Amino acid sequence: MTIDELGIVLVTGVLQGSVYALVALGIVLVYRASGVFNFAQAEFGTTGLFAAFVAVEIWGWSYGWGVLFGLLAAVAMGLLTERLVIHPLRDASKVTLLVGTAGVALTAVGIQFWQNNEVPIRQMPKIVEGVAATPFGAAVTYQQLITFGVLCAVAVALAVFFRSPSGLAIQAAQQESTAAELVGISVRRVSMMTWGIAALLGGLAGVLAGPNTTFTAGFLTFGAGRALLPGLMAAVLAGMRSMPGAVIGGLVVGVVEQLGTLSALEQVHGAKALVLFVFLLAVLLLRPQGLFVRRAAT
Amino acid sequence: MRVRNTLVPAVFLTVAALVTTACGQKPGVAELGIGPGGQYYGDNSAGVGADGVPLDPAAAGPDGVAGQPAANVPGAGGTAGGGSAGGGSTGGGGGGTRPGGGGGATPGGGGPGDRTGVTDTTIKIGVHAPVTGAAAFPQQSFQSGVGVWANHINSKGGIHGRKIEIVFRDDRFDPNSARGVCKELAQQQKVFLLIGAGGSDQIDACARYATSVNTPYLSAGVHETRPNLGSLNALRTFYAMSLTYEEQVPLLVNVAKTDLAGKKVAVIVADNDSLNNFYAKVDGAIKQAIGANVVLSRRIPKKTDVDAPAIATQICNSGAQAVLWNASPSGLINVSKSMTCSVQFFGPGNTNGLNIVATGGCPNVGNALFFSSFPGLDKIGQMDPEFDPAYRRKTGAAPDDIGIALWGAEKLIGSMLQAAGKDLSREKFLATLASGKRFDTGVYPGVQWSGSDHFGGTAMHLLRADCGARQYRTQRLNVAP
Amino acid sequence: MSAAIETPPETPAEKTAVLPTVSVEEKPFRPGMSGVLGRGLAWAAVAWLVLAVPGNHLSPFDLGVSDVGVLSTAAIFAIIGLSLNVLIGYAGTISLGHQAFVGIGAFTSAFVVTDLGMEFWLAVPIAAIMGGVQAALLGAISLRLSGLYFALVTLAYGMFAEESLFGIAALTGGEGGKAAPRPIGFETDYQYYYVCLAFLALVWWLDLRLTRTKGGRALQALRENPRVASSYGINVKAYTMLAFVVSGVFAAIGGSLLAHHDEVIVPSSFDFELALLFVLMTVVGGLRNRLGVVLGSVFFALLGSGFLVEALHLTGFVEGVIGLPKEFVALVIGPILLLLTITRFPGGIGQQVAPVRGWMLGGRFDRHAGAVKEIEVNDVRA
Repeated sequence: MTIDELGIVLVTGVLQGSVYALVALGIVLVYRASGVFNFAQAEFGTTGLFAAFVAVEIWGWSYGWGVLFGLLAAVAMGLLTERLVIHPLRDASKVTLLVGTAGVALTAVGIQFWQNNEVPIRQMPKIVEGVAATPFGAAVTYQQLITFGVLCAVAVALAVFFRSPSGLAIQAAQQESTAAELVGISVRRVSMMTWGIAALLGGLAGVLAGPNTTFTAGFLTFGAGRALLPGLMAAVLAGMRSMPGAVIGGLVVGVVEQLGTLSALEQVHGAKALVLFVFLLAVLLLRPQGLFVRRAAT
Repeated sequence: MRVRNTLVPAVFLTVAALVTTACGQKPGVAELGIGPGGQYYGDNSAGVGADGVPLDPAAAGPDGVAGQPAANVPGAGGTAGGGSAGGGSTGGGGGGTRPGGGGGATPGGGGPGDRTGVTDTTIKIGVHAPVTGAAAFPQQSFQSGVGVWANHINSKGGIHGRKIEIVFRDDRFDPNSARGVCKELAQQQKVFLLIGAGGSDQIDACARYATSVNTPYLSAGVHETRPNLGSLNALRTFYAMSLTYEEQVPLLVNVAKTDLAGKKVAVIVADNDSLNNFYAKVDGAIKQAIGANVVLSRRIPKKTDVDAPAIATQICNSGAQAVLWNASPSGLINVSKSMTCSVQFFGPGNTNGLNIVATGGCPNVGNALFFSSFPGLDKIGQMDPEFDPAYRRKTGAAPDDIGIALWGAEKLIGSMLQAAGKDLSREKFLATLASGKRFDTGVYPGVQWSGSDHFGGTAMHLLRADCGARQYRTQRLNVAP
Repeated sequence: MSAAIETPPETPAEKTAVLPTVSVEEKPFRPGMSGVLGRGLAWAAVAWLVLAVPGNHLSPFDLGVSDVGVLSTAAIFAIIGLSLNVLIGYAGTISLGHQAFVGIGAFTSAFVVTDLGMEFWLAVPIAAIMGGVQAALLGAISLRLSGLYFALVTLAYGMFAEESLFGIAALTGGEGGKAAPRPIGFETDYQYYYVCLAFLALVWWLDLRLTRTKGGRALQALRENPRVASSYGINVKAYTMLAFVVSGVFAAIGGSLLAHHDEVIVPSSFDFELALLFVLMTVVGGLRNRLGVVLGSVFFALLGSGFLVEALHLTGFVEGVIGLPKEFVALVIGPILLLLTITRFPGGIGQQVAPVRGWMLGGRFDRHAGAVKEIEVNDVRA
């Protein structure tokens, strides 16, 4: 294990972690609004990616419009999920809600498999092709740098948004829904808004991560770019509530997962899955309230 | 609650009464139903014994036992047992539900032989390939490509007057599922033989199963052996229609020495345990041939996609200019995409030489050299002018290379069925394959097997990725080791 | 718990004991002669369908070996569904790593038979014990976590089992898999079907016993209100643990049967999608409704294999009219059914068949029997 190797782990981990962080942000937002672990969060991304792909590669739209279309598709899916699944189940238990979101994800995956079978391996061009730098010999593409940049921008934008009147309304509705209704905040609209924003974040993760590798149905959920489990872990690190925690959590999970690629673990089967499982257990058992929060959140 | 307590026994009594009455009325029905089913494995091993004796007693015995631990399903051990009486019901054993149908009548007709899937007018053939699942081939390509040659030959009157009927099944890129569909094809659809059209793990699983039910199984060459399960060559009914990965090692070394002379080479092989043997051979051979020019040699995880950037980095850092690649196509596309340096890929066939890889991997896989058992779209017109019109006639669309692969396999098997003669049985068919006769249809390179060598490939075609056209072009035909 | 106290123990408790049922002293409904006959015929039809048809006895159908193999899978899935029902339905704890539970049973059984040379009939109990042990270990962890976090742990556990645990070639035979021969005398698919059916009956009976014992009533009380339950002196942790162990045992029995059904068991079969399918079939079947869960599991097993589409001659319809290749039917239709179930018909299949069930058990045909307002997956610890 050389310094170079650790350097590669750090660089690759942080860049990979930016995608996880975007997913985690969406998960935390939804959890604050609906109290559910959103298993469809990563599928918002895959759906957005497929929509962008269809627009750019098949309909021949320009990249910008294609990405916008993809994001809109993701948001539409988020809103539909809220309307058709989350809202009818608003009084149901959390586990039921979880099954509901998993159902949404599976439906999306099924439709992608079906619609996508003629060319099972899809590819989306990068925003900017090429490699920006090679620290420690790890290739850092422009695409990855852009992803990291978008993450930072999103984090700042969310921080600003939650200090604006609408943002405060969302927070109020999430914390005291009855009181919020009394002062004229529509809890329903707030719920829609939250799911819309979460789906947008998922969509961003999808359209930004998609071009890094080939993609298939369920890309962000259990495909090549799988970010659902890491995203959920990152959200857990954030105690399911802290937005900055989700960002840092995503980056940390990215790095921890990359530890599985160290040559010392080359002989271990599924080293990454092993490392993540152990890490999750350790975090949950030692600090179930999350790493980056002070007060207990659960 | 009280109601139920009295009612339930009453109901059960009624049911029991009904069932017994029915059984009593028609005792024969039940017996007929259970007889062949119950005898299934016994029948089968009897068939094995029956055909093993006339053919090649020395090979049949040990193969059935040592070569196939997976086949040690109860009853299969009874190779030596099974007199002619057992052999007589083998055809019925093929499904067990239609006693008296199919092969049941065969022994009376002409000599002992398993004629499952053969009637006077048809021969039924099963094909499996993954069209859903993790690494699926396009479903449409298979739907179109399967049966093109069969239609073509049927329109000319078939083989010895028998029309070819092909049944296709999706194996979901999962070995268990492959075994399941092969079971269905062999025992329920009662096909005469099986073709594995893609996916080495699925081919492995299905080939091992096919031998246990005395069904001929043909596929392109894959790995030769697998830890804990033994060599595929030991399977009595498995015949590879092109060079195995291991047999392609000298070809690959040759490419490294000639086409890629002087280039630094990295050897990248997936960590599937079926590739252990290939990796050991290729690693040794290439190091011996070009020595210090091998700058990196490693196994990579099966699910390469997630680790692609790390692997790409390692390859580039090693200074390699060429990469000997034997891992999944999606891995190839992803690793090549993540590279900061430019390398030339080369490797054994078949999947990495498919045009879907060139479509997805270009420009990064430009000039990649992959062996293949069938030619590219650019050469098939010259080699077999009948392919294109036949394909268009069946599908109404332009052909793709999966269509060529299926056409070539069907055609090759057609020539074997032709050679096996009018009086077709599985034993006769397998004996024809093992006879040492050479089969050459001009699409796949010639194949020639013997009783002890079921890896019959003699050569491979070499394809080169042309990123201008985003497809593979045929570089050299019939490259022999 | 209050319900349990007022109800004498020997009265079999219904699935959800509702207080008013205790005071029912109306005239019990008794079916007339024609009613008894009708019900008898219905039972005979069911028995014929389950017992006779798969063996091609007295049957106009001619089921091939693979068709019967699919039916065995359906019985095995039903066992797995009952296993998951114990966790989700009784203990209110969702498992997203149930493929690991099943896989451990499968590989244990294959190992015991192939490597240790023991009998199938010994391998199943050994697998069941292993399943119980691993579930207990996981349960020990889960007791410290609330439900959603536990779901996450099971998810990671499933992935870890799939990629790390089942990758150990010495135990699982590597990617080529491990042979798992069937017991002597039950080698054919027709015979093996009855083995699976017998184990399904056994698991059903065990499940029935579980819900009717002290432990079962405690679990029920727990689910309804853990705080009240614990104030009555019910040991929440011990009974949750019980649910885990039972679920692990059932799943391992299912896994063991699955291994010997496939005859060669391959690690790659136990992936995350399988875990999701298990959740799907259990919830669509109708949580805490034994019959519903079994029917749901059977339905998904048949749907997934394409058996249902072909048996009902729907291939032309789904491929021609909807344009959905039959290979994709289960992938697309299954999840949509799940969503419809939890949002519109929370009782699942169990609710749909409740009137028939009630009638067959000697009650009136009540169209509204078994209505469930929503799926209550009460989280014991949330």
